Amino acid sequence: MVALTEAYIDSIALNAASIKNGKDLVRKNSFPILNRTKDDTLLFGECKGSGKEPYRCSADFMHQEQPVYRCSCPSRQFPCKHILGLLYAAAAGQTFSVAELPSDIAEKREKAEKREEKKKEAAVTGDGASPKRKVNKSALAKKLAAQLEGIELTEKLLKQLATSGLAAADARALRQYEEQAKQLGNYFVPGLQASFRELIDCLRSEKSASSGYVEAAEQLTSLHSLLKRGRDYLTARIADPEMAISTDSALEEKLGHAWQFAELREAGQVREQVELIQLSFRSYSDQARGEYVDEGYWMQLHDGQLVATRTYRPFRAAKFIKEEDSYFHIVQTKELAVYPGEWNRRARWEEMTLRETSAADWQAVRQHAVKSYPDALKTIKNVLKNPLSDKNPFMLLHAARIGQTEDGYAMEDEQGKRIALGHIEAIGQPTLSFLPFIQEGSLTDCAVLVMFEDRLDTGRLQAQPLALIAEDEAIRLLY
Amino acid sequence: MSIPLLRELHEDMRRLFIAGASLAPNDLRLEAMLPKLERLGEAAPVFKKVAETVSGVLGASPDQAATKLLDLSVLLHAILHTQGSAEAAGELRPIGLKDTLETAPTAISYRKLQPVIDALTNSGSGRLEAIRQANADGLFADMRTVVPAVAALEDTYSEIAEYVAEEVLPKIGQRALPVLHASFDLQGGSGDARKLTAIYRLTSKEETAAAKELVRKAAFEGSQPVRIAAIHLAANDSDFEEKLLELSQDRKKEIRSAALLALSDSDSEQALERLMEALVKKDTAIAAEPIRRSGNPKLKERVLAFGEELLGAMAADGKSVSWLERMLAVLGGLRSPDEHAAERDFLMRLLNDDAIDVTETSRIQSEAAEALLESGHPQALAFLHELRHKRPNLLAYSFKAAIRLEQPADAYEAYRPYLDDRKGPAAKQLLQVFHEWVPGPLHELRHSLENVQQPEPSIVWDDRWVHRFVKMNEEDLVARLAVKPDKEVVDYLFNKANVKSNIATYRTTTILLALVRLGHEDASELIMSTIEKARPKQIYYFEEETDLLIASLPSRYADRIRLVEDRFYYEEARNKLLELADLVAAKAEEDTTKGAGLLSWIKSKVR
Repeated sequence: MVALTEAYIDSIALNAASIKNGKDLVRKNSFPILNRTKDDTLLFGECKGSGKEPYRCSADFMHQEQPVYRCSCPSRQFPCKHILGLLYAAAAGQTFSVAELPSDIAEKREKAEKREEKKKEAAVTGDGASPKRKVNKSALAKKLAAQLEGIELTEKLLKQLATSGLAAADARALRQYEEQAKQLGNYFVPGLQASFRELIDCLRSEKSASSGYVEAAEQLTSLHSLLKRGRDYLTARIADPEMAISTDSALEEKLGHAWQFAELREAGQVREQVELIQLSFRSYSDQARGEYVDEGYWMQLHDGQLVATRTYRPFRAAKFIKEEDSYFHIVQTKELAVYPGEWNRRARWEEMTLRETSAADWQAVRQHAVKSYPDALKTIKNVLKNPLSDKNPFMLLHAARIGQTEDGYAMEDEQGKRIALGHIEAIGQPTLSFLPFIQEGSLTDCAVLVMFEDRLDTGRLQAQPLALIAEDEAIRLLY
Repeated sequence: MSIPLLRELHEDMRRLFIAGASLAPNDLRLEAMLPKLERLGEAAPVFKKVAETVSGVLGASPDQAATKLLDLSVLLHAILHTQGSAEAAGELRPIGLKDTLETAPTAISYRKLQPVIDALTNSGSGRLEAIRQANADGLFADMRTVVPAVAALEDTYSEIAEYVAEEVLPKIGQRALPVLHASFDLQGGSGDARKLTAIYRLTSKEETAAAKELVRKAAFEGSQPVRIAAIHLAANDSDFEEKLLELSQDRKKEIRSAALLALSDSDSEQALERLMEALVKKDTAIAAEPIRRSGNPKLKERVLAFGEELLGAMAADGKSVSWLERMLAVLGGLRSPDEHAAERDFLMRLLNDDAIDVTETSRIQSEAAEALLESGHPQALAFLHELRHKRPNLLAYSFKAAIRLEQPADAYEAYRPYLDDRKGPAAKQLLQVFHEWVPGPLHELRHSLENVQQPEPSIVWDDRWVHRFVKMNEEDLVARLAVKPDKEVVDYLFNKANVKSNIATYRTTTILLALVRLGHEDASELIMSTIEKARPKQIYYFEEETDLLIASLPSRYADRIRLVEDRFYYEEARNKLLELADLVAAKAEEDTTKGAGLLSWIKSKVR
């Protein structure tokens, strides 16, 4: 059986509340029966619930790397609090009496084995590679046509908004736009719909009028270029049905395509045998999309490339989807799928193992920090000028020292070139105030993960530090 | 490149987006800018492009204006995004911690840390619990909690602010000082008062001088809550006594009160003089508390002398009320555990003095009687006991003194006659004493459950009282006093339990608990039937005492409890019943423990 630690159990729980609920069950002695099999491959027990019948839950460690959890409760949260409670009880060293393997679980194990065998057989008989998925051409043509229609509708709305003026968009007008944004749901362009909603939200917030609609104007502009590029792309695809889905920019994702892992693999967007180290993490709610976004900022250890992981949890289903957490271990994955895009590309994995982080890993991270600020800024500005790219690129920079000038905090490279540090809207959470709590030694010759934001109204390119990599540790300023 | 011109253009463009792109084709400012752009375009292709796009906007049909303006916007954004300035000029000064303090760890994960930060900075319920848990889990070692913790000192939910000030900040320690200093506002509210206290407590010994200086400044220049906090902090600072004397003459009463309280820690002649002056002159009301706290014998002497003086004046002029407040303050100031003969004598003379026995002095008399009772001195108690003949309005004090002083039987004999006129003022006073001093079965149990000290030393009551109350039909007092299974008492309670019984009322649960305590054989059946009679929607959840009642049932009732569960409407009540049914079922049938033994058994099971 795997060594059951509380940290491990915490990591499989969906969210902090289910951790608490699971622990509460143990505290309240809600498990009248706690059993294990002789070979220690199965923990099972009964947990008192609100109904007359207790819930029967179990944790099957037949395959250690992939434990199977089962519970008779109707909860949609999985693993449910009963399973977590069972595991916490084991981690806390409660006595589990030896018992026979329950027959229903024996049956399930058998079935699972058969499935496994079938899979293996199929793999042997097949040619190894998964067959290329067939594309239904007429369906695709219909979809593309609908998407083009969606683009035209959005263009119309945008034009209407720009012609009558942002100031004219009062509460009533915004409600109408909101209605029309709903209709965009019929055209397979959820990304576009979210962007348009973001614009409406932006106009609705009281801030926009007082700050002179800077953000609204920015959003308007990038939406306009997205529509333009999208129209060209879709028209080309309709004209040439053989044309492959675009992977040279984030255009597809911006329009709303949800890339599947297999699709990315087919499109050659998979990197093999990658080790990733997390530098920072945050979670925020994206009102326009109606989703929570858990965002991790990672470095590929072998080449220093930065990628982002993003898990979207729709508000309505948030309870049933795992809330991501900060990682302090190195993630090792056989396949890392990377989404099309320009700079900090989005990445994800299906399977991974963890290993402890060592001082050498942090050394490697520091090696990859960009040393020259003029070079760094040039790169960042090039990213920013592309209307389709991320408005808040991030980068790991080396700092000879971090300190304070008359105007605020700043960092300096070895050539004495500086970048001013400040708060950016996208993060919305202070991190600079922690700098005075860090030992002076860690503020010199360190690596800093910063996120950028370019304010056109002030002409300032702001950088906010998210994490600091000192000699052999990371100081996380965010999460 | 002439970037300012482009920024100007960008501003104009935004103005047009706000006002509406339909105005763009005839815009005068755009028209004026075009030639400049064209001129620059001759040298730089970028400007040429911009100039072309601008002229596209100017020449657009009303229908096309928006699209053209958006095109211009895309172009301008692309150019301007390459021009952002990240400069930071001037001297770069170091900011980090010096060698003395290490960087606090930041190895707490998002899912653990975020709820605490939310609890510290947002509003809503359940936050204090989250903060307590985080403190227990050691989360405040993480440096990311420092700023939110300091912010929480200003929380409108004052329990959170207090908890953070008392329990959390001491754990964070000196790390919090820079944040506290940066956010401390001399003119702020109670949050800033807490910050000042925290600064003073956290500052290391080497730097006390600076902290003291801040406190002194705050005592004079701060807002009211900040000044009061500063004065409290300065109480033990002997160098500051001069200033405290000055502050005790402040314009604001709250400040004077705080300063007087701070002075009560001092034994200096000036401080005593000032306290006395406050008592005699205009600050009578706020002087009592500091005088009581001071405990200085010299001060007591003077207060007593002043009291004598007042007593003389009162006797001479009984109708005037000008001395009333001062006398109350004198009595308040004299109240302390170590009273000696002179004060006792003074209090007794005051109570004995017929010249001042008028309606206006009733408060003074009560205060004096209370003080004597509190002293517990046999002479004082005997005096109060005797006073029953002379001062019927103080009968409650006499009775309380007698209970402490006399044998139970003697106390009964002496005071029983006062109950004869049961509606009279004397009877009312006595009944009030019983209500105050006899804990109900419930009360008793709850105290032992929570391991709280009993408020009063347990008193032995004469057995005749309970019979007397049966006759008077004081059912609550009977339930409280019934400790021996006497037939008359038990029957009385049993009959009462059958009248208008309702499990949701205090009255019924008290009587039923008393029957359980007395070990009545039908108590279980009665409890069960009372629960079965309850209306389904009447009970949201069971009170603790009802839990105890149900838990007292023998195991054979387990099935009936399960059956009755269905009748109740609310989830909470139903769950509790099932839980209790399990508890009852787990009892051994032969467990026939009764009375007090049963209560302690329940106690061990319910918690």
